[in-house]
Amino acid sequence: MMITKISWRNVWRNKVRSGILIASIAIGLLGGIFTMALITGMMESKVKESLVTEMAHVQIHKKGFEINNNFKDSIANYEKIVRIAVSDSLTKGCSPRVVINGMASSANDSQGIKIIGVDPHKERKVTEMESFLIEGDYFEGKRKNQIVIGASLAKKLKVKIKSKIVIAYMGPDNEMVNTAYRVAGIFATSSPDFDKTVAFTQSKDMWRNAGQKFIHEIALTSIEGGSKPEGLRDQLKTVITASDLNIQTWREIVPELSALAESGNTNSYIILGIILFALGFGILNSMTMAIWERSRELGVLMAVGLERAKVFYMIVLETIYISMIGGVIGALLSVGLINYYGEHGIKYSEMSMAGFNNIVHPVMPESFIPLFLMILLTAIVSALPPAFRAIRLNPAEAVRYKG
Amino acid sequence: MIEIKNLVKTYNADTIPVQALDHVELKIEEGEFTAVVGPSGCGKTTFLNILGGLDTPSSGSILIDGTDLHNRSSADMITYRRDNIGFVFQDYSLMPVLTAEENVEFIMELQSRPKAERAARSKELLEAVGIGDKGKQFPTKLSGGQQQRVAVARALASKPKLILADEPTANLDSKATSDLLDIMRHLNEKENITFVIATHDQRVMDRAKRVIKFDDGKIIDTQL
Repeated sequence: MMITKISWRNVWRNKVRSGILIASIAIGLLGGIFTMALITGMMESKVKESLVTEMAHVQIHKKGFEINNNFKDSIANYEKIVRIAVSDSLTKGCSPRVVINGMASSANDSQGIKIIGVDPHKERKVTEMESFLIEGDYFEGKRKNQIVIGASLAKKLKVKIKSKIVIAYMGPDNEMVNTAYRVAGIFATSSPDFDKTVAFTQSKDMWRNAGQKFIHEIALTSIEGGSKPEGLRDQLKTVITASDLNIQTWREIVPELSALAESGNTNSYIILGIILFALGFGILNSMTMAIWERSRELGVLMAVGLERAKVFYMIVLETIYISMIGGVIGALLSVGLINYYGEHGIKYSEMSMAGFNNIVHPVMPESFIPLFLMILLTAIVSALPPAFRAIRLNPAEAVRYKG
Repeated sequence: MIEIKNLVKTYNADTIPVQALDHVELKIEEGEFTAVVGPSGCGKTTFLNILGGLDTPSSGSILIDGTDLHNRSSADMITYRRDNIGFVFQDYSLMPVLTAEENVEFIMELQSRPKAERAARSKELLEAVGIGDKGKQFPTKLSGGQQQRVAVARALASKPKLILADEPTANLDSKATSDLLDIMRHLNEKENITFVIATHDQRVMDRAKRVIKFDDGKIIDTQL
């Protein structure tokens, strides 16, 4: 008990030194935690945008479609599959889609694209493409053959709202289908590549132009959210028994997106680890100085009967106190800063070049426990050299030390 | 009884040897109040350190009640010092972050004594050394004389048989020295605690029952 008291009071003996050390830990942690929050924010926004523009949470395809994107790989009896999927307790939204690869051409240029044919009413329950529109509308009019394209594609084809573009693709009988579409809306996501290579039209137009009804993809969202798509997938697998269908989560369809999110976490901890490593040297230096100055005092304590193990504990505890005070202050400052910028966002115009949203909203870490464990570990490791130095002191020599 | 036999301490034995203690032979009876005197560098402090188990002799032995003091492990020596020897240092060496009564209680806590007993004995000892009203004060708020009284109280806390004091009056004025010596003599006579005091101070020598003179690591004179 007295050892605990001595350690705590020793923290405040040299207020300037402890204050500087605590401030450096707090500021270092603030930097580390805020960087983590920024990276998490970037990754989450990238993942979220992918989910709400096209991916949804779970997709059903005919096996092999994901490899060949073959027109003929449509889902047999899709209406029955859709009925089963819609009735699942975890299904929030369900949108059957036509997905074909083709060529978009204007009088000026052409571009290979993926054409996604949707029922806008159903698609609205699965994705949020409308929120990315910068011009026009999302199939509001009753005109046939309307298309919604990305800003990058519009720029390349040099077209604008109401311009005509011709979409060509290989039809169900291996014949070329060429259809003129009128641009109804132009969207802009944070990914120029997506904006250039994906276009949306209505599935009913594609069916009419191709002369038959077909569906290649059923996109679903889960009431459990995009972070937990596995529950919906597993339930669907139990009720949809067709062996020629693939029911996959977005993580399985685009593992690179999942890996991106995971690598964000790893990168964050690496950055925090480097910051703590540097802070560890600061703590080590400060504590070594403190032990040097208190050599005589420690010698006296050992002379009057304080066991070396308790001297060791006393020094480690003092380091832990300093680190934890710095850690708590750093965490509190981080919470304030993340809350503020989480709401207002930070503008990174250069991020859009890399396919990220140019306004980043930092995301609060799910738990501060791993951070505090890292701080605790840093404190203990940094305290070891001065603590070992202290217990190696010879009391007879230490009591004569003049400082 | 303390029996010192052929005690030798040599520093830097591998390079330039310095013999701090040169075949010292001495007996100190229980309840003695002994001053160890001599010029600086004569071996007084080395003698006290070895007698207190803070340092080890190069050769020779110290028998306390027939047991070799240094025939112990390092951990056992710490426990032995805690329970049997009190130390008083020239510059008081109190823990600056503990109050006067906490400084006194500290050793008792190391002995795992109950809190109530610690508090009662701490109060009793501080009153015995004349600063019962200063228990809640931190050392920096006390005068040199008052700090040295706390140091004496701390040395007595574990109920030791032997108190070793290294220049305890060096930083005190005449009044504080006289008061401190009164307290130490009183404790010596009342509790039969053995005091061995290394000093240059004539006032200490005047109050000692025995004065042992050191020079060049040897005892050159013993006066009663």
